[in-house]
Amino acid sequence: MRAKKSSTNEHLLTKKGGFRIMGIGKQEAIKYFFGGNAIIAIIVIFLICLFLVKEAFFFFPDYRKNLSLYRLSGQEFADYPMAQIVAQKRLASLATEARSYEIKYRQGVEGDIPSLNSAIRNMLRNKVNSEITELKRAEEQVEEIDFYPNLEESEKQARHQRVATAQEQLKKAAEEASLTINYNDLSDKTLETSPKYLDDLRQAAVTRLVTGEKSAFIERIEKSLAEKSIEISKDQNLLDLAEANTLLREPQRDFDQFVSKLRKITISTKQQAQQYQSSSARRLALESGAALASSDEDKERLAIEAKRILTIQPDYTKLNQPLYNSLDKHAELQAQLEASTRAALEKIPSADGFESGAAKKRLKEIASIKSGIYDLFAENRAKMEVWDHTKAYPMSQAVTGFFFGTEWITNSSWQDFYGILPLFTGSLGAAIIAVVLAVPFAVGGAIYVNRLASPVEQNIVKPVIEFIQAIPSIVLAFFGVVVLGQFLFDIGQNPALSWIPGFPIEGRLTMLNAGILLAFMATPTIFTLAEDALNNVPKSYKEASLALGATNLQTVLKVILPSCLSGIIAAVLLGFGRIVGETMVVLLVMGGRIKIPTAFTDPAHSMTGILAQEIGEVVQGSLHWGALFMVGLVLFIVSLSLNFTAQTILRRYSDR
Amino acid sequence: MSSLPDKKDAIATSLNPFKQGKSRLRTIERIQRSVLLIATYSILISALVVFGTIIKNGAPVLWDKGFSFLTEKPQTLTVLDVAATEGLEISADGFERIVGDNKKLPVENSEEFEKSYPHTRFDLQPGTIIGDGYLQLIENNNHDFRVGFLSRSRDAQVGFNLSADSEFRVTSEQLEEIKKVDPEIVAGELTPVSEETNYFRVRVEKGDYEINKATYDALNPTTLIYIMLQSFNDDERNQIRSTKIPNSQVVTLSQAQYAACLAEEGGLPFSKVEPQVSVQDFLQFSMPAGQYELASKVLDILKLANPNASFVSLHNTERGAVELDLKEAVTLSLPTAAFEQVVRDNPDFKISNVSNYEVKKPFVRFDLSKDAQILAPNEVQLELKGENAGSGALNILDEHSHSYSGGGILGPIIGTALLVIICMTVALITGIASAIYLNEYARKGRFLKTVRLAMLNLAGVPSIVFGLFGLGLFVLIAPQITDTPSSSNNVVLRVPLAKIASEPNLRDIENNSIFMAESHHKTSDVVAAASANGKARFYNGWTYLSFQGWGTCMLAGGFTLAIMVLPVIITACEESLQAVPMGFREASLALGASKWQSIRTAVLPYAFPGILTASVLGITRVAGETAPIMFTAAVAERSLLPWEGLQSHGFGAFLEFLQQSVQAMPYHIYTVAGRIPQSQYTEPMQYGSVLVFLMLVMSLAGVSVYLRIRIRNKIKW
Repeated sequence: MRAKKSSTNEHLLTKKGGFRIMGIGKQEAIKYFFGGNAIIAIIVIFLICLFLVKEAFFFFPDYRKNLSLYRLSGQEFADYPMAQIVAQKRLASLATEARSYEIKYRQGVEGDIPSLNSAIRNMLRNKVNSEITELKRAEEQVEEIDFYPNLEESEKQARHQRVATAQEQLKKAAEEASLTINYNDLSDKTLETSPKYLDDLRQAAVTRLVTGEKSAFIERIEKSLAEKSIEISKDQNLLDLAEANTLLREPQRDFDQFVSKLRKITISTKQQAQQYQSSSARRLALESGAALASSDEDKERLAIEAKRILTIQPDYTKLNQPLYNSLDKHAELQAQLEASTRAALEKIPSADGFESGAAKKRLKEIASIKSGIYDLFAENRAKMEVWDHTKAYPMSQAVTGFFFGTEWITNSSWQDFYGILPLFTGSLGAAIIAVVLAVPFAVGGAIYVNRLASPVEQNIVKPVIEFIQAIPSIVLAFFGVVVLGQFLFDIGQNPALSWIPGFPIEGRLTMLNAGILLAFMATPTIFTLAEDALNNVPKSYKEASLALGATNLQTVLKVILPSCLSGIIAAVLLGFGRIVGETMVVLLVMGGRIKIPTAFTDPAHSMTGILAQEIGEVVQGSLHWGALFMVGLVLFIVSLSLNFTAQTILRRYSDR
Repeated sequence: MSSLPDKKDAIATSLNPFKQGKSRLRTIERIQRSVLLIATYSILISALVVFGTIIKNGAPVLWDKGFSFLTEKPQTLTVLDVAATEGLEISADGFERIVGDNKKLPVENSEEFEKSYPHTRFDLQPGTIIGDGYLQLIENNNHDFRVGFLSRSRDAQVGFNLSADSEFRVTSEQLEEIKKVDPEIVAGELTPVSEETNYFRVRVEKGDYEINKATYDALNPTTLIYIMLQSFNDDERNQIRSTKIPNSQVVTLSQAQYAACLAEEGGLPFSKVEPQVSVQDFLQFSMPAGQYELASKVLDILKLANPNASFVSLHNTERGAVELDLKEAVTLSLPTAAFEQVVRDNPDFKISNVSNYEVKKPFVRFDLSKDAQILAPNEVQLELKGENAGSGALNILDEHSHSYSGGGILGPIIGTALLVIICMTVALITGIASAIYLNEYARKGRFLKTVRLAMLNLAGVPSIVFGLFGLGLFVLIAPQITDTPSSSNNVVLRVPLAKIASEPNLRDIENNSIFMAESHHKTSDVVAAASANGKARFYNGWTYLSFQGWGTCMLAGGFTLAIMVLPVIITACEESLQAVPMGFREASLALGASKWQSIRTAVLPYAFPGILTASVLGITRVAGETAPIMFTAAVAERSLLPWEGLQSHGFGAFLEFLQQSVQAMPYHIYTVAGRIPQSQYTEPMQYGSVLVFLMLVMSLAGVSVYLRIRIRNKIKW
């Protein structure tokens, strides 16, 4: 063995130099090969930029063209009154919801019982399905007796007997099965009901199933509910609310008709414009197809078809004339709408007289948007008056429309809008929740493990946290969907928490849910980096502090922590970057509602989520495709700058 | 150093510049300490909750399904409500799976028996002509058999039934054609007939008109040039649309077309009408009712000659027949009934060595004592229905199905493994090479700084952006050497390399929609012609380097993942190279070894454990990622494993293998948890796959953490 080894070494020593190609020796070739691989990182960064920019490059010009058509066809004009009526309808629906929540709340537990009753009955029916079928068959056989007059008596009795047995069995099975039903099995978890009714409900379901009659319990509840609702409806607040509601709904029909007429006109203008665009392209394609056609017959046919296509631009001035003419009618309708809204808003009572949290939340929302609605009316009216379809759509407006647009609407039959704001705020909201939750745990944990824990503890905790880092995000997303969502929702229903803005939580998939999971993902990252930063503090700091008589904890909190603060900030920034770029959790857990969230318990959508959700279904090179790559570019720039800032902080810190 | 001796402590406290009461200090310290402690352990506890929930719900699923969860592909689960019955039959395997999946099934009197199927074995000879459907039948029964086409003919014999005696009127050219192919059918008497056809030459003046759909339909096949803003839909029979005639024209109309334009409302007024008559001679013959076997070309002529004659097709060979590209005889087998049908319907089915044999399969016959619910994956329920279709023993009361809820997770596991293998092959080669360069060769300078900056930034790029990048580069643009490049407009560049392409077989031309062109045409002309003809690819004798991308496939996914994981691997490899003491290199160089020799013999062997750790770490990262493979490699539904159903041979098969999309574990979880309707039947699949996936990834993570600790502790120079 030893001999062989030494011979290898000799062999290595003797063989030097070797081949040369184009003046490059073996050693240099190896060096260049390795160097070439090292450049890949640079190339990839460059290529990522290139591809994102390449696909997104034509987005703004295309978007501008698209929006120009939106203006030219008058759709922009029709959207102003549309926005007015939508805002007003929002008020109306809030008022309606507030009223029904309040009524339901005042009815109390008993209000839930009718729906619970039918849910439990359906479950029971499913559980004893085979017994029910058996009973039905037995009964059918009994009915058949009349058709067979010469049936033997014993057979008749046997058939009756079968019905009796089946009934007996059904009753037994139903009673047994009813005991296995719990509230937790019910799919509609919004029902909060005290357990004391459970036995009554089970009994009611069994009675209904076996005898087909309502049980006394249900009848009593229904009667008391009816009495209660008469009493509730006498409440002045609710009466006011109902009256306001009627006032709000009164002018809606006329206005709706007006708006839908405008929309019809503009959509037909748009169709003509689109037809003009597509027919130009089609004509070109047919002409080139005719040139390439193999037979004379095909050539002639294609040429005729090409000539049949009209390529005359629609006359927009003529087509948009009805819109300009409609201004007077709109003024009249708007005055009506405004007057009745004013009257209604005066009627709407303040939130103090209400008991239900959900109702209060809605009334507060009405109060907050109520002052803005008249401004919106006036503003949109002013816009309509100065609107001019010939005015060119500026590039800057397309750009701001993307970066500050509040609507992301795709595949619409009306008009697509690509505004990144709802996605951006969703991403940012979830990330902020996550960082706020993760930083105390991660930094606290790092301080504890690095400075206070015993070596044994250190050797256990550190690897375990590294281990946690490897949990795939899709697993956490799954956990959020099936476990955490329900858990948070149940907690969120607790009336004791209703003082927190955003509570009670109204869904399982929310920004809070996603934020908690993201915090869990970011914690190991922040922990590891913060621990590194703590480790890098020179020993002399600690020794000096201790020598001055500070205790261990004082040293940690007042000397060491401040001295590595920049390292910790960098750690947090890197963690933040990881959260912002995370996809699966926000895609599955955040609820996917494309709207700017107003509270941290709202559902929302995110930049990463929209990419994952939509890019698979988009035509390559279309406007939507460009918009998605634009979102990707924004995401890339945000994460790069976060990363870059963190690295800069770290470098400055380590230089010092 | 963590705590000072008591005496010093006492002195320290007395000299304490932050002097506070001792007991109060202690209390505050204790509180602060416990807050930090709680922060630390709550991280661990929350991890425990996540793991606990998944194990608690997932373990029973795995226990129930057993090993089959890993060895079956994901399938649609069908829930059958079946009435109590006797004499259900199913193969023994199927029975085992049904009983395994339905523990409470009231099975009674199960007895095993052997069912035999008569089969026929035969040698298929070159020169066989056969209908498409029959070829499909043979290929379905012989899995390794796939054959190209030499030619396709519309001259296949078509069997049909003529339901009544009919007269046919044909021109003399048509008669010649019929006689050429099928001389027998015109054996009877031929009567010459001459027929007058009226047609009209009309003049239409320039202007705007209102026409209805009947007029429009009549004018459409003529040469009249008109312009309509909106064409008619099928259901707008009574609608009237405005049309514009751009200039005055003279057109020829048939009698029917002319009549359609005369309508009071919605017709087209003519300024000048010249009726004309043409006389044409026909020959008339009659065919008695009965069964015929005719060439399809003849049938087409007959159908034209008498549209009222009623032909009832007996067997469907609509696409005609193909001549198989067989060099030598192939031994094949078919169930006897199918074999007889093929022989009966295909006169040019050339075979020899026909022999009959029986295939025996273990079967189970069983009774159900009560109405029951059977949960079965798709293939099992299809088998159950198929085997009992004749006997009427299976009485299904209710049936509903749930996608992806049956079977196991074999496909996703294999897909993930393949993606990881491709990714790590690429990432390790480039990663180790660049780590060696950065640590051993590179001098401090601008280049090194740029590389490190790029790497740090690459590490911070979100995984979904890598997905976009992979989509842009590998799926849509990456170059591919091919004989039949795509004719899509999105292809950036096609470089003709050499005129060595082998002509595709007729079968591939049909299946892959290939446009065949001469080699002297310019590429751009061929592309335009191909897309005008609606063909997806073209062939003109040249082999191209076509930048058309690899498509959604495991190669694209693997490369995307490799680029994503590169910073992790480079950093970890560099760390392990740095850990090898400088003295090793110096000693080796001092002994006269070259740079590469000393790296190979004195550095790499000692850095190997670190590199191993890096690769395990990389695998952990890669296996868990969903976003980068979502649109570069993964599909939700795929019934074949990657190596099943390949159509090429040799190296081509390897390329084809790599260019397939695959199922992958994380994507499968995404599908079952987020994209399909949830029900109680989908839940076991969710928890089961999440648990298996988590176990896989976490054991890898465990290994990497363990290796890292071991290296930190053990290797100290």
